Amino acid sequence: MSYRDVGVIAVTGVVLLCVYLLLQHTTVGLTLRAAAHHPEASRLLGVHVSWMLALGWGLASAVGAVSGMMVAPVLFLEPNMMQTIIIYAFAAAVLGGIESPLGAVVGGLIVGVTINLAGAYLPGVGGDLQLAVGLAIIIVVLILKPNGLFGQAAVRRV
Amino acid sequence: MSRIRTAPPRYWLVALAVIFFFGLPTVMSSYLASEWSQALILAVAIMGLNILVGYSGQLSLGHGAFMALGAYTSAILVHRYKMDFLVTIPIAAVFTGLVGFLFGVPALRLSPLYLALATFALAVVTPSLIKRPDKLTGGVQGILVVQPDPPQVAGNAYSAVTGTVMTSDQWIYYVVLFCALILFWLAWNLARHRPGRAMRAIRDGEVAAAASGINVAGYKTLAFGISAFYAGTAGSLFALSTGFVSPDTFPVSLSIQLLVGAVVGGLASIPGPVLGAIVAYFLPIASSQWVPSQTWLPDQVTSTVKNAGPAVSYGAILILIMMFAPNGIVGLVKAGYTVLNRRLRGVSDPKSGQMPSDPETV
Repeated sequence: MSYRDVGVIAVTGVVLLCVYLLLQHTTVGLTLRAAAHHPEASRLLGVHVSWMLALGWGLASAVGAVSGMMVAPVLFLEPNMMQTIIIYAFAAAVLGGIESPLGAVVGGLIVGVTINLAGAYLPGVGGDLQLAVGLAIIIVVLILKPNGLFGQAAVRRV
Repeated sequence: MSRIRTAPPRYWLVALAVIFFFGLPTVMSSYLASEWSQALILAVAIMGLNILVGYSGQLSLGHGAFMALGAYTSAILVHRYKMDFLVTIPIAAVFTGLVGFLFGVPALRLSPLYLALATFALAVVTPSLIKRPDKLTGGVQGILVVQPDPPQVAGNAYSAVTGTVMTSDQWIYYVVLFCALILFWLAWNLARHRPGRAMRAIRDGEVAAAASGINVAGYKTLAFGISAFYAGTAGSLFALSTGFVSPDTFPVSLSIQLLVGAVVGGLASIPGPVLGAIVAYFLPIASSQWVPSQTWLPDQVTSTVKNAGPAVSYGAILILIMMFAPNGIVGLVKAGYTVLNRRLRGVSDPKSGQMPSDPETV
């Protein structure tokens, strides 16, 4: 493990902690969640919903930028660099169960290891079809276990 | 059950459009005719996407993959099995439709946002998936498809009307037009009958639709299948029209181009895809020629457009249309027509019930 890997893990931890504290323990975080959960009700209670949406975009871009900075030295830096990342990330989210934070981490580990092992050892796969393995994981999980490993079935009230 | 009352179709407009498209190749060069057949092919693919996105409310960012499947099916059948190209078009269409139907099954489990991501993944994976079985698909080099000469009958008829010899580009244009007319007629029938109504009901309220006895899962996968059928036909025609298929003919940006066309033209409308395809095909070409020639624009702008190519104009136009005409060109025209009708005939506003001021007394 190089110093860079240690740095990446440390930065990830700090960012996650900051986002968690912001969302769960500040007024801004509370209003953000309220605006996302129930726009009309929070507007009645005096939340600027449009500002909160704008803030959400800003926050998402900031966190995304951090991940881009950390992944750029590992991959080759080019305009379509994140295209593959987002598919792996989506495969991980589906496998772990969408909307489950623990599932995201576990799914990420499983998908990452699977894809690299498949690329190295499965004769038909190789480097260029690793993406297809990601797509296959998405489709197989959706057919066999649509809620993922840790997800709960969505219950909708009509 | 009686038909839903909507505005009567303006048959003279349809007739005008058909005459326009029939006459087009007789007044322009063979090269321009092939450009217009590309635009019509896009229109067919966009119509398919429109059935999926506009009528059944499922977002797909991966329709380029279905086009690729249709194109490769046709190209392989022609190249390896020496079939007549025209015979391969329905085969490719049905095959792609079946694959799309199967892809619709896992897609049922996804909420709209994640469906967009999954189809996007399909579009990203497609080029590398095509490259792999290189015995079958020709790998990176792709497959050459020999463009057919126009048959005797069509050539003679064309010469009798215009006095010139029909080129194969012009013949292909008419093949494309023929397929497009049939598919648009089918789409029009689909939209105003039971399946179209069911799809729109699902789009507007899934729970309510299910409660009314509509088979939600069935119609959603059916929409995927029909949509892929259209994309497969378009892909097959695309292979015929360009005479060449390779993995890089079907990049992710093709899928985006289709979605842009569908949105710009107007979702859930029949003329929308045609208008959207014309804009989506010709506008980037026109803008990448027009913008760099403008001296009043700052150098940074012109050089950016020149280097980045069509993507810049796509992005800018999509944002502008989303802001000023969220219902696309068709929505804009309809709104303009309503306003004009109100002003001229003194019809009340259907929303507020307000009468316009009488032009004769003001």
